[in-house]
Amino acid sequence: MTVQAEQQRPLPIPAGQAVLDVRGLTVEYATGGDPVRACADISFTLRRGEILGVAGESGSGKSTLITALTRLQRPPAVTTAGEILFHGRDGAPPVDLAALDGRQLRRYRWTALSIVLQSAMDALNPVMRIGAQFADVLRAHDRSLTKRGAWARAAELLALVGISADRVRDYPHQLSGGMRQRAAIALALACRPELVVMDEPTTAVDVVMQRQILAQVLRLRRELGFAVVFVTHDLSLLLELADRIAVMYAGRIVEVGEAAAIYGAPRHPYTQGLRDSFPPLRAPLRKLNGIPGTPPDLRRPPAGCPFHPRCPRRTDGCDERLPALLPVGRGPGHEAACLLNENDGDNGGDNDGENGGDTR
Amino acid sequence: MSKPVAEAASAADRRARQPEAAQAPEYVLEARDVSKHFTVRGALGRTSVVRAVEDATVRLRPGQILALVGESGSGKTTLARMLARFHEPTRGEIVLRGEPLSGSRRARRTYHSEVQLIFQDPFGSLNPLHRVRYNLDRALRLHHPQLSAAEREERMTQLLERVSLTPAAEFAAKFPHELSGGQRQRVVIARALAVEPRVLLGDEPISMLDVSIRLEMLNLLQRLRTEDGLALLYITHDIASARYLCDEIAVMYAGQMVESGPKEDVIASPQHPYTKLLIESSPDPERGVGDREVFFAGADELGEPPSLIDPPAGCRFHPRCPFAMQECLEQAPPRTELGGGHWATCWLHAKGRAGELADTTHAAATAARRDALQGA
Repeated sequence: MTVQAEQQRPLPIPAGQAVLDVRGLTVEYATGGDPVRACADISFTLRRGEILGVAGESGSGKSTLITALTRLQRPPAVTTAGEILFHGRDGAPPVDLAALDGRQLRRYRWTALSIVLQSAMDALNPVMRIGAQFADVLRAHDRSLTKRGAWARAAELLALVGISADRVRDYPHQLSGGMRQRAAIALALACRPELVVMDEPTTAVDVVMQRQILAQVLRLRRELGFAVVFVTHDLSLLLELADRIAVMYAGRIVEVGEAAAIYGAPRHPYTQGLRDSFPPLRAPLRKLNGIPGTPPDLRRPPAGCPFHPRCPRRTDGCDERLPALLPVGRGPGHEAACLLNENDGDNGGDNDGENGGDTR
Repeated sequence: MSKPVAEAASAADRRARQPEAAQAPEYVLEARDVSKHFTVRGALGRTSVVRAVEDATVRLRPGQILALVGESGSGKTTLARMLARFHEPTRGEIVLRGEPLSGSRRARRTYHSEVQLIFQDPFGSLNPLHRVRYNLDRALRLHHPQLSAAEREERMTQLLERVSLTPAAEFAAKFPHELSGGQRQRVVIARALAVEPRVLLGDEPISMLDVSIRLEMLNLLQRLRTEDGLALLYITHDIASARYLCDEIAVMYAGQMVESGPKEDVIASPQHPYTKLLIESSPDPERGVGDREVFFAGADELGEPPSLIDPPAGCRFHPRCPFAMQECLEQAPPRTELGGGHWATCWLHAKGRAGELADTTHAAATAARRDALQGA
C-alpha cells in the first residue's frame, strides 16, 4: 500500500528495494560479570524511502540499537553477532557496516547514513556558528566546495526546514529549541544520505513544534527520498507517522508490522498494552490501566518470554520457551513473537480486533 | 448565544463575589489576577523584563482537578511556582481558603502543609544520598513535630502503601537510584502526601515516566482526589492525558489565560484559535492511520510562541493566527462567557465570527489566508 502510494510521486530512486538489511544483530554490554544483552537477535529490513518506527520503553534497547546501526557505540557496548547490510544507491554489492573499520566507515557517514539526536543542543557545537558547522560537514565530503559556497548551501539547507537564511550566522543558543532541532535535521540531510536515523527527535519539544517537525520530515522524505528509522517511546506518534512499526521489549523486537495493523490488530500482548496506554483524545473515556509492573532487569532476564511476568494473557510454557518472531495475521510483513499466535493463530487475532473496536 | 463581556465587567463581577467567598470559601486555593515579571540582565548590563505570567486567575475547589495546558514558555510552571510560593507574584494575590497570605514564617509553614508541589523530574527531587525512609521521614518531622518516632514509622508505612510501594519496609530501605522512574515519582507523591495537603500542584508529573507506567500514576492521582478530596492542578502539554484525568481545562498562551472550561467542551469545540491549534497538533491515532499526507498537510509552518520580553501588541496570538483581524493587532481581546463556565478571550466572539472556528482547521485556514493575501 505504502509502496504504491510512493510510486505515484516522482521519487529520485525506486521504492521497494531494501536499503538496510539487519540480520541477527546482538549487542552486549561487557560490564564486570555476565554481559548484559541489550539487543538480542534483531532482524529487520528497511526499504528505500520508508519510515520505520521503533517503539519501546526506556531500557528496551532502542537506543542501543541505534548506536549499533550507526556504529556510534562506545565500550562497554559491543556488537557480538549479526550483520548490518547496507545497499548503496549505485547498485554496488551490499556492505556490512558492522564489519567495517573506522576509516572505511567514514565513506558512509553523512553521505549514506546520518543521525538526528534527541537533544539538538548537545548535537550542535555551542561555540560555532550554525553555518560553520554545516560548512564543516559539507567541505569534508566535497573538497572542491569553497567556503563561500558551503555557507550558501548551509542557508539553502536551513530554508528547507523553514529557518530564514540570516540565521546562518547565529550560534545554537540564539535559536529556539524547535529551531535547533530543525537545524540538526537539516544538518543530517546536508550530504544527501539514503538513511537518516532519528533518536527521539521531538521528545524535547512541544506538541505544536513536534507536529511541525514531523510534517517537515515527511515533506523532505518525499522530496529527497531518504529512508528513516524513527525511534521513540511514543507509540501514538508513530501510528501517525510511520509506514511500519517495530515494537521492542527487553532488547528484542516483539512485533513488527504496518502501522494500521499495529493499531488495529496488534498480536502481542505488550503491543496491545502499549497501544491502550494512550488515553483517547475524542473517543469515550474508560479506565485504562497501562501495563502493571516494570520492565525486566536485563542483567537477570526472566526465562522464556521476557514479557511473561507482566503479561495478562500468560499461559503454560511462557516462562519456559522463548517465542520466535513469526508471521501473523493478514497484513503483509506482520510478525509477532508470542506463543498465543503459535498455539491458535487466528483466534488470538480476532480477540485483538474486538479489543481494538472498544477503544474507538 | 455567546455574550461578549468586557474585562472590566468581569472584574467587577469577581469583586462582587468576594465577600460571599470570604464567608464560606468555595475555593481551597486561588490565584487572583496574578502577574510575574522577571528582570533579566543582558550581556551589556542592559536589563529587560520578561512578562512570564500576566493577570492569570486560577481557582481550585476541593476534589477538583484542573488541567493547565500550553506550550513551554507559556507561563504554566511560573504560575505553579507562584501557587507554591516559590515566587512572589509581582501583582495580584494568592488566596488560601479565602484568606490572603501573610509573609510570616509560621504562615508560610502552614501554607506549605496545605499546598504541595510535585516536580517533573523524579530523578532530581529526591536526595540521592539518603534512603527513601529519610526522604519521607524528613517531611513528617518538619510538618508533624508532635509525632513520636514509632508514629512516624507507622505513618510512613501507610504512605508507601497508599502509593502502592509494597512491601513498605523493603522500599523504605532503598536508595533512590535503586528505584525505577515510576517508583521514584511515587515516593515523591508519598512525600507530598506526608504533610496531608489539601492541594497538590503537579508540574508535568508524568512526562518523564515510561508510557506503560503513566496510567498508573494518573489513576493514583485520580484515587487521591476521590478518597481524600484533594484539589489538583495538573500541568501538562499532553491534552489526551489532561482529558483522562481532569474536570476542567485552562489554556495558557504567552503568559496569559486564553480559554478555560469543562474539559469535553474545550476539547470538542475549542473557542480560541490557539486551543484549536494545540488540539489539532496532538497525536490522535483514532483519526485513522493511513491518510498521513492529509493529516500533516499544511503543518510545515505553525509558528512559535513570541518572546515574552517584547510580546506582540493586541492579542498575543495574532502573529500565528489565521483568523487575525485589525482589532487583534491593536487591542487585547475581551473575555467572552460562553455558558457552563466555558470562556475564551478572542475577538472572533465579539465580532460574531466564532462559527468559523468549527468550520475549518488551523492548517486549512492558514492556507486559505495565504492564498487570499497572494490574490490581493
